[in-house]
Amino acid sequence: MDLERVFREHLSSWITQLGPEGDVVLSSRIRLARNLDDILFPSVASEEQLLKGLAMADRFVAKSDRQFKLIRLAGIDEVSRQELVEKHLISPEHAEASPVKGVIVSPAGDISIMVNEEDHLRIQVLKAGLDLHEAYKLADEIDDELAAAMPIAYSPKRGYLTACPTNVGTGLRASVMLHLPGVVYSGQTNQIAGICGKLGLVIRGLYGEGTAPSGEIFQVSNQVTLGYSEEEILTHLTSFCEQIIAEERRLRQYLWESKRDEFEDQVFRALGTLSYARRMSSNEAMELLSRVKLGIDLGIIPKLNSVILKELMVVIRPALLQKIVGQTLGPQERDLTRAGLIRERLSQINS
Amino acid sequence: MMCQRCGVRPANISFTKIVNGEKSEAKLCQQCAAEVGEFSFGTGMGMSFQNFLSGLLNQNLWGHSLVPDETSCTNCGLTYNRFRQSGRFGCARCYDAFDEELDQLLRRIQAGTLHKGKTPHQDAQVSKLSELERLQAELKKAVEVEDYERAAELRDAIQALKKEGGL
Ligand SMILES: [Zn+2]
Ligand SMILES: [Zn+2]
Repeated sequence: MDLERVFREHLSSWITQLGPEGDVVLSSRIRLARNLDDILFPSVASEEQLLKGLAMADRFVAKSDRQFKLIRLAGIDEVSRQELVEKHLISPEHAEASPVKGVIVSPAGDISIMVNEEDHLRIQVLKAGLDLHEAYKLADEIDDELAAAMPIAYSPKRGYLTACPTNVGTGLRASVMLHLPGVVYSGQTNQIAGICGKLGLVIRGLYGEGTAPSGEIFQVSNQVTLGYSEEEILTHLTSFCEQIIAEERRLRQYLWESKRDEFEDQVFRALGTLSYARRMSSNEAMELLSRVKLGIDLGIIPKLNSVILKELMVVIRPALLQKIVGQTLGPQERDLTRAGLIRERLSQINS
Repeated sequence: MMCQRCGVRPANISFTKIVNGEKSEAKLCQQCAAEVGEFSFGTGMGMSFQNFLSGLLNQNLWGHSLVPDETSCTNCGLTYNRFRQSGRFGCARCYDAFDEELDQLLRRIQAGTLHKGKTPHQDAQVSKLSELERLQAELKKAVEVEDYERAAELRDAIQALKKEGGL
């Protein structure tokens, strides 16, 4: 199996490319919450009303020239719903076989519009690396196209009206996924979190099934949506990221220079395990992939490309793994298949 | 946003934990996060944001309530009491129905009470017209249910909008 080709068939460009500041920033995401003006919010509306909303989304897709596709969550199986979560196209809460839930997706997998989640419409755009402004530009266009096709709830005073008052106003949640091994290994996690809090930003660790943060990956997003313009929110988060990127690079360099032997040993041990292990949980895989990616980004492992590690971090997740090998797997089989897939991908590069 | 562990300091760290596909989230302050151990926490922390927001609404930290609990939205029927429990509105009109109480809530959870961002790409006059139509429809409803207080508010809002828009 030509894994490079297979991975690219399953993964969107925000995963298969590094993007700006790709050594530290994995991806940028924009989410806009919108509601239809004449239908009650999804948590209280009748099924009939929500189906009306879904039908509107269907007509929007038919008229749009973006080659969108509307997927009804009740019309696909559990693994396919989970796959949409793992590809970040829907939220975990949306992965439910409900007749009113849908998601509009673009062919490239960079745009999705959840229909009847907490709000009627949640537009989402994903980009590789640190690229919030570009992602917003696209989300803004989609928003205009939606507003031309259906009545959107808006008041000049409060802005875009949402089910939860924490999203009202711009309805904008901008977030950046960061790979911060330098920060974690040097024990600076809480300092960074403290700075986030002072700057009105929320930081969250991406968790696996254990208690440790999965792969030293964090997501930082804006906390407030009302009282600032979209531009202010984007610029604020971007400049924070620029500082954290500089700090992360400095810490990586410092760790490498001050503990060179230990550092190299850890990186190559991780690569060794990934290249030869026969069974691997997703947690262990994330931890090792994170270390190898750090090694590549620092130039310790010259032959590998960092983007391959980014791809592997996504494809090792349970649903995508099953989609790629094309069969249903139990947890034990998944660990075997996961190890096999990583081994094969790494050996294809080495040969 | 207050810490879900101590409830005293502002929360600025959000934990997402996924166990067997079940996602739970906890928002903590920096100090509690350090006490709980660097990014590890027990299963007792699975408090939802929903509970947390409704806690904030019920604390009534901003002094006495301006809106009596039985106040409700004429469009969806949601009472302020129910909003306090769920932290979720029922429809877009709720924002008008609970306008005053909302000012105080927004001051706590947002950076301001007024929208500074994008205006939908419509002719400004068109959107004022539809706003006017909407207010007039709501006024009719308020009169029907004999909510004269609300009707008076709506009449003022309509007057203000007409003046502002030169309609
Ligand atoms: Zn605390
Ligand atoms: Zn309502």
